[in-house]
Amino acid sequence: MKSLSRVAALGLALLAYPLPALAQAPQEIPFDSVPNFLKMPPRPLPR
Amino acid sequence: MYTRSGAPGHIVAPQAAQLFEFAPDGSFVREIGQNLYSMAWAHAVRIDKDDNIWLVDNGSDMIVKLSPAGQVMLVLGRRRESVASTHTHPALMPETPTPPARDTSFNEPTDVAWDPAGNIFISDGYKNMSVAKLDKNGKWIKRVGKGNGAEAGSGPGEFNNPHGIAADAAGNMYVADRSNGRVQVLDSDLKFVRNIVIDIPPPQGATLTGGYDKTLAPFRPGAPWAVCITPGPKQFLFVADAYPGRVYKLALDGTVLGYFGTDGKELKQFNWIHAIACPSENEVLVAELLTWRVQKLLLKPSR
Repeated sequence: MKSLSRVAALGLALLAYPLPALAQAPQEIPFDSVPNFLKMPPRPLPR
Repeated sequence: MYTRSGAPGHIVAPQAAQLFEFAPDGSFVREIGQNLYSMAWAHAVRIDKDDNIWLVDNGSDMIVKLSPAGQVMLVLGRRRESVASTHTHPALMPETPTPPARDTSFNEPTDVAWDPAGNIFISDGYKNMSVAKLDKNGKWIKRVGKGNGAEAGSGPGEFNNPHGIAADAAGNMYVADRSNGRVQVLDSDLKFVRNIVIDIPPPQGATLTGGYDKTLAPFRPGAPWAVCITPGPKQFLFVADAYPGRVYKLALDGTVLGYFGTDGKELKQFNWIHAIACPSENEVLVAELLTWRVQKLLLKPSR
């Protein structure tokens, strides 16, 4: 009975212990590229 | 944007560097510093917290600080009389003997960053294999690297083509130690803190523009070509590689949080990202060496 209560206590302690966050594999991040972002003037450049 | 697009100069002794300013919406503002003596072979441009413009040039071996108006404020290093007979590309060609590093001089420097006190940190570079620290007025403090400062090494505080550098808010330096395939973190006293290695296999069928051997050190997946760190209280590190052409988002402790991109010339593809800026966590600007372009990227993380 005594050992059983020890097991129960250990189980409760484990349950109460905060589980570390599960490590997640890096995922692909969705993204957009702004079309024609840089607008260079035609060469020769203005001075 | 600091480019190699100018016409003057011989192809092996270039004086082709040009500096352009663009507005946040991408419209052209002006060209700055035409024919400046240090502008030979553009490698990097960085803007400091006071909007000064710092040019890092691995043709002239100079780092020059310009005011926002374009006046020369600080000159570091000295341009050789000619680079025609001395330039090789050790990252891609067999080793060539390099003279020992000299204090206050640079040998194909690559990038610049600052700590909160304004101390200057220079990744140096293709020939020297070290990181240099100077005070905010340009007074030499020290250099860290293997042996004489021009020897490639892979231990802590040693480098093999330090190709970029970025600082966090605490003054730690994140060095793109390219041919070692790692980001090496140093504190502001140049003491080793930790290595960050990105180990995410390329997708099947991944390509590498340029026809280079993918086993060469600069083309190993995750080998850092360019680094930036976001501003703000919670900072993130962005790292770009050439193969398989990805950008990685990391926590400052080195945890890879996500990645995006692939090799190519279309929008959302990358052809050797050589410079990167990250004004916010979800806004990244990349300049590509093989496409002569800058892409503004808007990230849409799902978590």
